[in-house]
Amino acid sequence: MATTALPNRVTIRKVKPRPRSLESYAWFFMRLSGVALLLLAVGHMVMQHIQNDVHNASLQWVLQSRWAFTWIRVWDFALLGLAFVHGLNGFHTVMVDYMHNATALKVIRLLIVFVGGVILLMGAIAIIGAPMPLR
Amino acid sequence: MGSCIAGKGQEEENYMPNNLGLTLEQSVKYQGRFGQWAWIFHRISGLAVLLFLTVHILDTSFVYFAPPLYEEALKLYKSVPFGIGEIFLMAAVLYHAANGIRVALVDFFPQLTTRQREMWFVVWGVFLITFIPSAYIMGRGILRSMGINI
Repeated sequence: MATTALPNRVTIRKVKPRPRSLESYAWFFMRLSGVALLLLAVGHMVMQHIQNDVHNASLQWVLQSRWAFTWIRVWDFALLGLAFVHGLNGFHTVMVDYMHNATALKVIRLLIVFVGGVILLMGAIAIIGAPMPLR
Repeated sequence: MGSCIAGKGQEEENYMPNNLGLTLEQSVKYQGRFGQWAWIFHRISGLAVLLFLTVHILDTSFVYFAPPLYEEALKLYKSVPFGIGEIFLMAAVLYHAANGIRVALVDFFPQLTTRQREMWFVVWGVFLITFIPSAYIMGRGILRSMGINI
């Protein structure tokens, strides 16, 4: 290094920051959704499994005591999306760890997206489409 | 593992975990102590909750798609084995929540890495304080459904 010969020269090297990878967004999503699920999922467990008893549940009860209230439908909708995507992404992480066959991993990724997508859609349609009771 | 070609430079390559059994075996053998147990429990509880969640989204969608089937699903949920499963579900959700918050805290506040052991104990403290009363209430519900009042 000839730094002693040129004491006042400063080298400026422009470095482009590496673009964030999809995986880093997934990492961030897991933390954000995790914190949200602390309220949504644990709150759901307290409401549905402690405050209410599953032995008292019925179709009428879901329609008249739960989905009659818009705020519960909004809660369930947020819970459905965040919990299921959080869970599927966690499942993907586990699969990346244990599936060492590239083709098998690709098949599993496709299944996660398509089977997961269909189940998510069915849940969303039910929450939005279930009839409001007549009052 | 299967075929091992003897020779220099081959050993390392053959040691690569290209086998599910080997990966699982090594992930249990690895002596990471409480951090390792936190990770294993987090993984198992997460997968268990995902399994139930998948079934639960489908059964709840019956409210819209097939109302008579929803009543059938509820009958199943009210049975004793499912009631016990429900207590395990509560345990999995509460542990996964408590440990997940620990993971997020360490990720966002790296200075907490010096407090890992204490945080592990806090996770178990929070888990036991929330789980024991929940299990009591849910267990009482199962007994009541069997006609036993306590």
